[in-house]
Amino acid sequence: MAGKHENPKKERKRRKWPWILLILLILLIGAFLFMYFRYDTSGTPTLIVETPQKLSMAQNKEFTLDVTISSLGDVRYPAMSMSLSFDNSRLEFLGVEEGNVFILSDESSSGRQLPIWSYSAATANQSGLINIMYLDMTGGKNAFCKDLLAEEGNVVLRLKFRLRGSIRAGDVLDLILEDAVFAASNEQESLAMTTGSLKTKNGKIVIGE
Amino acid sequence: MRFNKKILSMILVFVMILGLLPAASFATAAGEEDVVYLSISFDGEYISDKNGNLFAYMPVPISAFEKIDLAEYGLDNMLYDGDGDGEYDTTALQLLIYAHEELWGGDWSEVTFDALPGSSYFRGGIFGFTENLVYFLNGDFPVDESQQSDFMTVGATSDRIVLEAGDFIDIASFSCYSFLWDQLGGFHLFADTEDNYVHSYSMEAGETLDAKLLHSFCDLMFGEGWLKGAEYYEIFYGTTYGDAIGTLETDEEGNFSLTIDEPGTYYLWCYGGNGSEDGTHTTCDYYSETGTPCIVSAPAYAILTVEGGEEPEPAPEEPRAAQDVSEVLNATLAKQVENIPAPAFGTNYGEWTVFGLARGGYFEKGYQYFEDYYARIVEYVNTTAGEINLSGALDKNKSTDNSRLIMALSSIGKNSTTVGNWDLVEAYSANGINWIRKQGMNGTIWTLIALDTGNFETSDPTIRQQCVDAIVSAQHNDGGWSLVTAKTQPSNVDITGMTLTALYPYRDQPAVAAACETAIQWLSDSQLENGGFPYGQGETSESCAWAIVAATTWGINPDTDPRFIKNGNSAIDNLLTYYVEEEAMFEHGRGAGVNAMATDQAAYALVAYDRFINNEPSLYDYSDVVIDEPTPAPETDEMIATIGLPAQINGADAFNGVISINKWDNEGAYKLIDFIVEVPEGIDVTDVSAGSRLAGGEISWNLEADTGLLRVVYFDANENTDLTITGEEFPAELFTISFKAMNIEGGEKINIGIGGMSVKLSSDSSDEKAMIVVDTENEKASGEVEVVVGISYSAVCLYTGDNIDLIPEAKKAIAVAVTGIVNGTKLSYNDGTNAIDFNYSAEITEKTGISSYVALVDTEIATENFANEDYFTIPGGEAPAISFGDTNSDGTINAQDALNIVNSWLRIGEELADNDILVQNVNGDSRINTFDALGIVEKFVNGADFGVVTKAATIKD
Repeated sequence: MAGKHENPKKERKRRKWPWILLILLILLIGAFLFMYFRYDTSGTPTLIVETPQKLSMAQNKEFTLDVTISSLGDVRYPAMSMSLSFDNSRLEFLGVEEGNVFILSDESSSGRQLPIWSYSAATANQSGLINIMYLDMTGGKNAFCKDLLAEEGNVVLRLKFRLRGSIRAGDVLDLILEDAVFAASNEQESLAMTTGSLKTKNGKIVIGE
Repeated sequence: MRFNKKILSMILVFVMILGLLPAASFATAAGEEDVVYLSISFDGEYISDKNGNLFAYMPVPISAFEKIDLAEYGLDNMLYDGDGDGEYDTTALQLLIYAHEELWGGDWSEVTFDALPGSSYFRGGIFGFTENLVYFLNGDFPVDESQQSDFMTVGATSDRIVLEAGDFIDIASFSCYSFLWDQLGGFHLFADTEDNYVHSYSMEAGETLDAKLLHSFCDLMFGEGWLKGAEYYEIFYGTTYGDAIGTLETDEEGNFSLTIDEPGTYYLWCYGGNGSEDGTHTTCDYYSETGTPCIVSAPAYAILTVEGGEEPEPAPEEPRAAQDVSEVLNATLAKQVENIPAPAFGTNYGEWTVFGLARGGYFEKGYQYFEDYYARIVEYVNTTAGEINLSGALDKNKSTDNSRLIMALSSIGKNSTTVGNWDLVEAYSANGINWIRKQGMNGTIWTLIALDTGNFETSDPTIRQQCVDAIVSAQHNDGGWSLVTAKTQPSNVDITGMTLTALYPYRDQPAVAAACETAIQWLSDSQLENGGFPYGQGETSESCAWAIVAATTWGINPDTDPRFIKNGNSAIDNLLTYYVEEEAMFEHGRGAGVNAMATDQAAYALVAYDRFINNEPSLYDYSDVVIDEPTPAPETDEMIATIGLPAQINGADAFNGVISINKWDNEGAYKLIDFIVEVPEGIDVTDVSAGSRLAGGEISWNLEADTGLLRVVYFDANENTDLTITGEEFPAELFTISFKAMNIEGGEKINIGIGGMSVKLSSDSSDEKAMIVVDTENEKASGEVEVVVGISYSAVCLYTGDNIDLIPEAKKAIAVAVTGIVNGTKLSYNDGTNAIDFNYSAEITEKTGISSYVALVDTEIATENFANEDYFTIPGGEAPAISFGDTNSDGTINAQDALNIVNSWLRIGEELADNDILVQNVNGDSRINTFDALGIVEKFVNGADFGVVTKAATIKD
């Protein structure tokens, strides 16, 4: 019985195929994970501290960072809070500026108004933790809701900072969302970081010359 | 046999099985479109309503009882839509409830019955009957068509009897239930000779009435029933029911004839049966003894109008001249001054006396008698309102304390918006309608009266209207009001008089005008023949006084207006009958002896009348009083410091002292604060830290070994920053001093006090304004700590509920500090009656340095019981931990917790359990409300400690 002999060159090619497939698979998974985490393809609402362009020590003594929300659920959210830690030795938190995400209002002819946020810059600068809260005590008449979101670029609020004298070029400062919640009356429907129903993305400030 | 009766009474009475009876026609007279007629009898005789009127074919407006909401009585499963039109029908059940409460004067909540639709039977209490009822509707047994079958006919129960205008429902109850077998039992009906049921006959004088008395018979056990003439039955007639001028007897077919010569209105009636057929027995025992049923049947009654002459009109009474009461009034007021030389806060010997004297013009505004009273009031208000701490409220539950005082202060020209340090008017807005309504009608009535005495503006502009609406909606169908808003009590002259007085300024509102018109008529109708007014079963001078006040308020002369004169006796005549001339005082009831309260009320009623006949503004129209402008609250510069210490420690324990301050001005440019603490021997200081709300400085301290003096200074040495305190709540924590006991022997008591505290604005010592001395001389600026050995307990009450917002009045929060125990160890309390597992509070423990536990307990348990070691056990293991403000136990306090508290206050979600109350009442007052939600915000944003934690660390028992 005549043996069947393979072409040695062809044999080497055949041995390479599994490796090529494995590498392709890894690349594919990597790309998926990148897309998943970068662009939040899951649809879970995400609160994002937007990372700005590299800041100039000379020109950006004061600056603002947008905190945006990707989407909301179908219910009303009468309360919202977020806690962000920052390096209070190199940044001074100056306060909160208006975003463009509205709350419902039956006092306004447009049926909407901007929320008034509670925060304490003094306490935040002492502790290095910015705690910001909005609370509607009307039973939902002045709540956040999906209908008042824009198509894109939903800025919940803007954080205003000043660079302290201790800042140095090349410093990288993290702004970390320690906790955040869009609270619904039925807590099961809340968007909360603690339950995973709200995703967050931290911000990063890079200091240039 | 008794067993059988029980069984039958359990299963049958409202579920009547009977044969169909011949339908009797029922004539509806003109004008009956909106009423039904109601008869109620017991053992063959009609019973009376609360006013003594017989329930005998009594007209009841449908509009009066169709409003009865069965759901409010827990009977929502008995709502009935018989015709399927999507709307619930008006049923006999609503009539029963209305008749029981409003007409008979009972409390429906005390009626016990099965609450299943279509099978209800009343087991007790309705109209005072011990057992069940049977009905007759329009001369027939009501039948539940839905349960009709060839085998049996089922009687309809009250929730299935749909009532229409003109219907007549005859209700009977018997002490003997043998009617279930009794073929002679049932109802009686007057009829014409054609067997048509009628309630009224008419004829000319001298003619003969030929009519018939019918008797419904039934055999409930065998489903048979019929209607026939009541043979050989006795009928009574007369001009007054029950007072017969003659009798008749029916023939063998129930026919009878009656001739009357005198025109007039006559009544015909027969009594029902209640005894044996031979008349030898009258009770149910007859059945027990003989096996023969008792004769039980309902009475009947009809009206006979005999025409042929005009009723002579009563001779018109001579118009009365208004009498002068000034002599009695002056003597009474003089006596009051003599009897009550120093009026003070209180229902007796206080506001009413001052009010009467002021409105009676006995003393002028500014007279020393009034000024002295006011001085006593300021002292009382500063103490009491401070203790209550509810925005000027003088009592947690009784808004009338504020109202009565405001009414009196306005009468002497004092402005109630600034009484001492408090605004008594603000209490209404701050505590809201729930606080006001805790006293039922009195709360809303007196709020209106008080606010209108000074035309006071309220920060909640809706308060007045909320009161008006609550009052109007509580009006009874007869036109009066009672003390409670639920209409479960009969109308009451006193309350109706007060209500009319309170509503007068709001008479332009149509609803108010309509309500008051009927109320005045009710008041007039209630007047007795002696000119007085009833109170319960009797009459009192106070009721008469309030009728007089109401009448004069509405421009009615209670001495001459026919509405307030009965049998020639006016309300004023009547009030004066309570006057005891020798003592110049009034009695509460005639012959009962003079009484201070009766004298107060009679005095101001006479003042009201005297003002009326002299054309002066009415008693509560203060347009003739000049009320002082509000004086700004005295601005006290005094800053007061206090120290909170644990009651007990072990000899080697570490513990904390929490120093607080009563006020702070963030605009005051305070630069530095310093003070000294006298630290006793055997105590070391391990740390001094600034409170979480204090900002702007850094702390420096030193314990001087020789003297034991701890010196503390707090300021910003580099930038001279202003010192500030975040948040609004005071007292605010300034510093925490961490002490360590150095092996002190048990039994010793150590004293720690703060002193020499000052707040400095600058370093210029020559400038007297550069330094504010803080009061450390007060008793709370020092404290005593008892050194104990081993495990020991001390307890304080953090708060008690006031039933207004979510915390029951019967509950209080207790904090127990335990020495000699490992933090977090399980702690159980059992006094033999109450077993309670305490929750460990890490926050209070951290604040005080001593292991601390909290629980919500019944107020009946004395707080000192929680300091009794005999009641505690330490079973081992970990105690359940409690974290104030963490409403969802997720370990994070954020917006969700604040919202959860708002939702609790809005009553969204489930009722709070005891531990929920502990967690949510973060500011430690008597209520869970939006202040607690704001407490969460403040904690979250400013890092401020919760009020309940600070309270636990600083409160002294």
